[in-house]
Amino acid sequence: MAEVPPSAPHSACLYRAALFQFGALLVRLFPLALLRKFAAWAGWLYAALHPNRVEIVRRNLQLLDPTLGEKNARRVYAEFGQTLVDYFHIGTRSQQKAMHLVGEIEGDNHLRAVQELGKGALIVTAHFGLFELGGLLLAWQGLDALVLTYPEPSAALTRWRADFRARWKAATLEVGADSFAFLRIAEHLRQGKFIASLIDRPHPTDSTPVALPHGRALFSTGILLLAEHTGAPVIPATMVRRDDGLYQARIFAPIFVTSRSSRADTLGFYSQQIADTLAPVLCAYPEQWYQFVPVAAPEA
Amino acid sequence: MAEITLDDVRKLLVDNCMLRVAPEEIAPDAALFGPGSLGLDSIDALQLTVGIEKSYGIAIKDPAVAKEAFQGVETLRLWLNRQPRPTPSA
Repeated sequence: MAEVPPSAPHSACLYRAALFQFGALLVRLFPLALLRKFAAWAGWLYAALHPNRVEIVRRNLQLLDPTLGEKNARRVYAEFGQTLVDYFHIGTRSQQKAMHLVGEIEGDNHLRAVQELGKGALIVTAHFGLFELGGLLLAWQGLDALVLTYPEPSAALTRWRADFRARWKAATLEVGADSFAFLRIAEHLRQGKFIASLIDRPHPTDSTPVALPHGRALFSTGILLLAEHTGAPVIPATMVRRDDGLYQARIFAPIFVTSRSSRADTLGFYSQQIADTLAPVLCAYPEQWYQFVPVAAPEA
Repeated sequence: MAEITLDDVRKLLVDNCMLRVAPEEIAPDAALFGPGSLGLDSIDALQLTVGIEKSYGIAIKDPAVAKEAFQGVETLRLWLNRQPRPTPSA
């Protein structure tokens, strides 16, 4: 689940394997609580020095709640810093210790029910909370987890993150460069795998607008096409950090995609259903929506 | 069983891959993917397999088979015509 597509205007200098390696080293040396405080401060400082990027986040937040402003957008960076610390933490601990970060799991019965169908499943979430922890949760539940990613800014980082994910037994499949990636995904679904992906990422040609509480955003539609083609259900899920520092995992009821009057109708209808499922959690924890590229849909 | 023509393949591509060209503008020797091609991506590949299954009842489940069949417009036509097709029910 890459945070950003290759063309996104993020700080490429921060997305380097060496820096990620350094982060993984720090979490071995210092207590989690201390590093979270430091990372929150660093995130805040980054936001103060990059007002243009904060403005993009502010506009995204306004799709959820028009009262959210620049201060909330800066807090997104502070929260993101803490989430990065947790990300490094889970990859450098045993599965059991890493799972101590999860304080609450709601709806895991849906995973079991879907597993029995044997069609695999498409777990969808947003750039929200510690979504990577979802891969760990799936593996913890004994499910065969595969995470879809876009290529990172460097091949070294893509490899590093795939290796890091493998520590919690989640495999990685890179989409983007491979013209037959979606057929490979369909093959994995037929093998009963649980495939995790992010949906709040505008795709240049395959996106559809969805209504959020105060505006429209673009969701990518590839996952729904896969669901329609393979019969695999789509399961929306979220993983947010509560005030006590532990994560709340919510797994929502599976959505079975069936063809409607047209392809556009099918994609629009089910994308909205996913948006309606995720939006209340996004609105409850807006500062954990780590969406750093503009997602607002152009006016119709 | 009627042969699948070049025009059938062109229509298949335009209908399923959201190409912004008229079917007749698609050259028979055009590649589907890569530089200088029709510019299809991985989602188009999936949509194309869905379209082929719906139109001709030919299911493509193996990405390696798709890679072979989807090299170009004419390659696809020849490949489709080689595949056994289910007889339409009366």
